[in-house]
Amino acid sequence: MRRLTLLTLARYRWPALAAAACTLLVAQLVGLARSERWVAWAEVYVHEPTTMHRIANPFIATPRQGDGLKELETWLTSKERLVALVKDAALLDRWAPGRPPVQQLVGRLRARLRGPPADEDLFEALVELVDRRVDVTLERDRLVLVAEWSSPDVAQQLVASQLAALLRARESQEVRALEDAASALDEQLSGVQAEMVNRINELDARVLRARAEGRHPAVDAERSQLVRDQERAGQLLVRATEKHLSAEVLERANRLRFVVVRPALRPLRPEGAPPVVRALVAGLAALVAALTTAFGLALATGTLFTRAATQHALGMPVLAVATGEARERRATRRWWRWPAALLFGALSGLALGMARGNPMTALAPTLAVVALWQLWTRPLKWPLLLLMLLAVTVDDPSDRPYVGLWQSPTRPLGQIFYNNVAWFTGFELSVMGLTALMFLRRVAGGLRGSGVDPGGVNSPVLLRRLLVLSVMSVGWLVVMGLARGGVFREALWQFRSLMMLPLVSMLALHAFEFPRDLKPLAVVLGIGTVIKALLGAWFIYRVASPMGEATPHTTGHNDTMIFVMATVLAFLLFWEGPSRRRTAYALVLLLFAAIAMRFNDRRIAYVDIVIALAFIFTISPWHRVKRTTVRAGMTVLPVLLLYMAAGWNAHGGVFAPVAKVRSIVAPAEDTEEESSNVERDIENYNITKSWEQNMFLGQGFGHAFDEYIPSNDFSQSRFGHIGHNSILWLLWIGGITGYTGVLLYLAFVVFLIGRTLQKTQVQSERVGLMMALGIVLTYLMQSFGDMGMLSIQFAFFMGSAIAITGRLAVRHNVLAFEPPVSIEVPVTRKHLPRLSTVQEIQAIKLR
Amino acid sequence: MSKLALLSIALATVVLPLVAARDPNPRRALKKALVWVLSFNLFFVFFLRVVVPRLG
Repeated sequence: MRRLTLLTLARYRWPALAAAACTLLVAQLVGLARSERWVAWAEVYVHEPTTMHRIANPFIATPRQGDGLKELETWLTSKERLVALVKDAALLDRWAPGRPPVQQLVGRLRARLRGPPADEDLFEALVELVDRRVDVTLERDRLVLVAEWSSPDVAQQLVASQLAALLRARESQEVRALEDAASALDEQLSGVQAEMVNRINELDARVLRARAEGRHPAVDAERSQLVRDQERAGQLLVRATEKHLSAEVLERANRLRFVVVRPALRPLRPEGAPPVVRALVAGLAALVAALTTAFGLALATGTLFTRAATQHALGMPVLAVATGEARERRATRRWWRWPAALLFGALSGLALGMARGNPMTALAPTLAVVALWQLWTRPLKWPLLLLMLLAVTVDDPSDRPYVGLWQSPTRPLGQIFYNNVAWFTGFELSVMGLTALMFLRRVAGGLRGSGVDPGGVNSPVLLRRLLVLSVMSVGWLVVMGLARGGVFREALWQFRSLMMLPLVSMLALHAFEFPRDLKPLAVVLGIGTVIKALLGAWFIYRVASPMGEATPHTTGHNDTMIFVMATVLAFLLFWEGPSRRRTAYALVLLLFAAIAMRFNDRRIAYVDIVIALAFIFTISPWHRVKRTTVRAGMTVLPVLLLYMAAGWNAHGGVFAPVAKVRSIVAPAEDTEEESSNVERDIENYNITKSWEQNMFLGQGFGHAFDEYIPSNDFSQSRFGHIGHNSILWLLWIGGITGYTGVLLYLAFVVFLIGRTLQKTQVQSERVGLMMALGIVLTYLMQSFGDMGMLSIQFAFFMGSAIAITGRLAVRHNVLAFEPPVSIEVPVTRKHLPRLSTVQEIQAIKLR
Repeated sequence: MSKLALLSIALATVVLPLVAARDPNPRRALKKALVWVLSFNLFFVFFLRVVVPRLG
């Protein structure tokens, strides 16, 4: 290796040196153009002194811990506060001198050419800048205020201003509101009292006049009014006093409410690593840039080649490698050597300049080049498996995992892969990138030869055509929806997962080879189940329980499919020819799946499992395990029915499973399950009625269904843009034609599963096919129950199922007609009554 | 009951092709699967429009 490195460096020494020099030069230039970043922060612990409130006024509701904190967080980053920050820190006067020399030069040039910017524009620009540089984070009962600026003083001042605003927020908002209310009540009270005095005076005068005239004064009405006024005055007095008292208590409690854990201090050093580390990182980046350039050029020019490339070129395996001394020190001359080296050096320099001493950022271009090279030269199944692993382990932030009480370590990855990065999510971008790579490889296949990915026909033609039909149907529904006035932003959320599913399927068909790749897929599923089970357990026992929270779920809604499929896999390993090793693996998997499902706590998971197992049971031949299961089932059935009957009205304890079954089949009235069912029924009714407007062609994407019956929480369906019942929702969007076009491939996949299962007796293949059937069923049930068609996670599962089915269908040639190999007529039990004697029966070979 | 009616289209997508796949002739089996699924989808529209509202 050492000799190889020296040889490569010797051959490409000048481009390598140029790349290293370019890296350092560009990094220096970037350093001049960018200012240092100073970060100031303050931390405040918030604790509501509830005892004080209770003692001061026991007759009014006491504020709870955490009340109003979310609003405080929002208010601190509101436009009103940003404007106040710009004014408090006098940024309009201070921003220009703090800029780095290059930016000042650019500013002066721009002022010369276009004239100086208007103060209003500058002010608006500064408000926007402050919006990006100031952050407020609420972590349970702690508020962290952060500000970044190119000057340490300004950063400190921004945080100090935020802190001061926070401390007087209640005084300036809630206390003032209470005092205003109290003042208004005082005014009303004064008005009523003045009215009463006037009425009494008038009454006295009338009584005197009546006496003088010698008649009885008629003052009953006025007296009644006076009594009413008195009552009203009394009420006003009580309410005004309460408000005054509350304002005073709030004002005094506010002093105890906030504890400043860390004040707004002036930052001591700029963000990033110290100068010594920065110098070391710069040296490392230059060295790595030089090495990458030399090796990259050697590989790209063909001077250096890998064992895989040799096998690829020769079409035969390399059995041994001979080592020799190379004397040639001249590099292969290609015109693009120098531009490539300089471009790579410039990119490395740019990353180094931006890195502020962070080695990972500084080495990002090299890592990217290596990753791209690996992607190009390695089988596509590895990045696809990696994506699948991420899909089953990383939390989807939009799915509100852990009820928002906790952020698991996978959340940062989840924000990249599940949230929009550039119009699309990280998963979608990765799938699109891999699809592009797949097509590129196919195009370049003629030149480079094949062999990186499994070759040959990967699926029946009709399957590929139906997948293309699905993509085209989605495209048509997007165009039709937009032409009918649909909103593209909403349409994007609606169709993206449906569009991704065929793409993932085509990728999986291209990348995987079955039954060889069934094991890695099972491993991915196992890892996902274990990690989610552990995360769920950690959340329940270390986060939710200490907080006294009884959460409705832990992991996300879409994670249900992972646990369901793990359970089905565990069952299948046992079902299709159990062995000691497979049974042990199945039991471990089942244990983690059960834990994960318990913490996930979704009724639909149990429904999915029952339906998948019922189908698998029905289509399986009468093998030993099936016969044993039926016998055991028939024995246990009476006991089971008695147990169900006894526990039908119970709520927990030993009858907890019965309660769960009941909540699915017939939930009791006034329970959460019943209310959820009613909500879904209302939504289903609304979608069905909207669909009736155009049952054949549908509405297209980008629309919202109508609310014929008002829903309690219409926002859950994004105000009609998304239906929990994805099947009904797709029927409304695409009509029966669009629905059929989008999902017809599912029917064909199931057909292929049915035919392939008749042909194969290989245990792993049968398990794979039945898993595929389980995935299709679970996908449909999840779609029916809870937005299954909107999750990219399901697209990965479905892609795997389609790839397993397509590959195995081709392997067993299930669409080819095979004439009967024997002229013997198969005899089944239905022929038996026609046979007359036992001898006749014995003479026939029973199949 | 109406929930089961709605679910039928999802179950038909699985049940009909599985039943059709049992035909020994692959071409005929495929034709059966596709025709059955398409016919069921059309029938489902009628079913939902006419029958389900009467189920309540």
